[in-house]
Amino acid sequence: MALHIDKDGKIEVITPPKKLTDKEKQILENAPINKELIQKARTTNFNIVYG
Amino acid sequence: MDNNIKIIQCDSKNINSYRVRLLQSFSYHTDLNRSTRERTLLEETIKLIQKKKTVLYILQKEDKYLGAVTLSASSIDDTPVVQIDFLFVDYEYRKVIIEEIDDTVSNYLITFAMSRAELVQQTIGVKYLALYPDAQSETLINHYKNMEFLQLNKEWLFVKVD
Repeated sequence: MALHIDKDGKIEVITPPKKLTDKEKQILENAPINKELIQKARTTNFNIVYG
Repeated sequence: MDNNIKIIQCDSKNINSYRVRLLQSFSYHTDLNRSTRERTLLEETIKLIQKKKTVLYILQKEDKYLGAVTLSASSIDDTPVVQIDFLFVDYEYRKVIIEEIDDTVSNYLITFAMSRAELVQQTIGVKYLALYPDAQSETLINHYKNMEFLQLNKEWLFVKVD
C-alpha cells in the first residue's frame, strides 16, 4: 500500500483502482512486455542478505 | 556482483534492528518541507513493515545506505500485482550512477522489484508490477515512463511481468 501526504499533511493510504474503465482495461490487456527491464532483472545477480 | 554492494531484506521480524539507522543515516532533500515529507513517509513505511503489510529492501554500499524500496501484494481490478509501495534514494545519490552496479540507485531498485515480481509470479501468479509516483511528480512519472512503465490512469503506472 502506497502512502501519500496530502497538502494538509494528512497521510493517506493509496491502493490501485479496483474498478477499471473499458479504456483502462484495454491499456492493461494490450500492454507489451517490457523486455529490457525483464532481461536486466533476470541477468542481475542481486546480493540479498537477511539479518 | 561487487561484494561491497548488498540488499538487506527487512520484514516485521527484523525491522526494529534497522529502524533508527534507517531514519538517521539517510540524507534527505535540502528543502525543509520536502525533507520532512520524505522522513515522514519513511517513518510511516516502517510502521507498515511492522504490521506485515510490506517488505523493505535496503541497498547498501559498504557501510552506506543508498536507498530502499518496499514491495507488497495488491491488485488492479481483479488482477494480482506486485506493488512498489515506497522507493527512496538518499539525497546525495539521486541521479548518480553507482559504478559497482553501473546504474542509478532508483533504476537498480526498480530492476530488483521486477526480479521479485518474477519470483512471485513463479509461485502464486502475478501479472503486473505497479506503482504510484510520489506526489504525482511529473519528473518521477517521466522517469518511470523512460523505463517503459505505462500509464494506467492519471495516478498509477505499471509494467507487465512476463
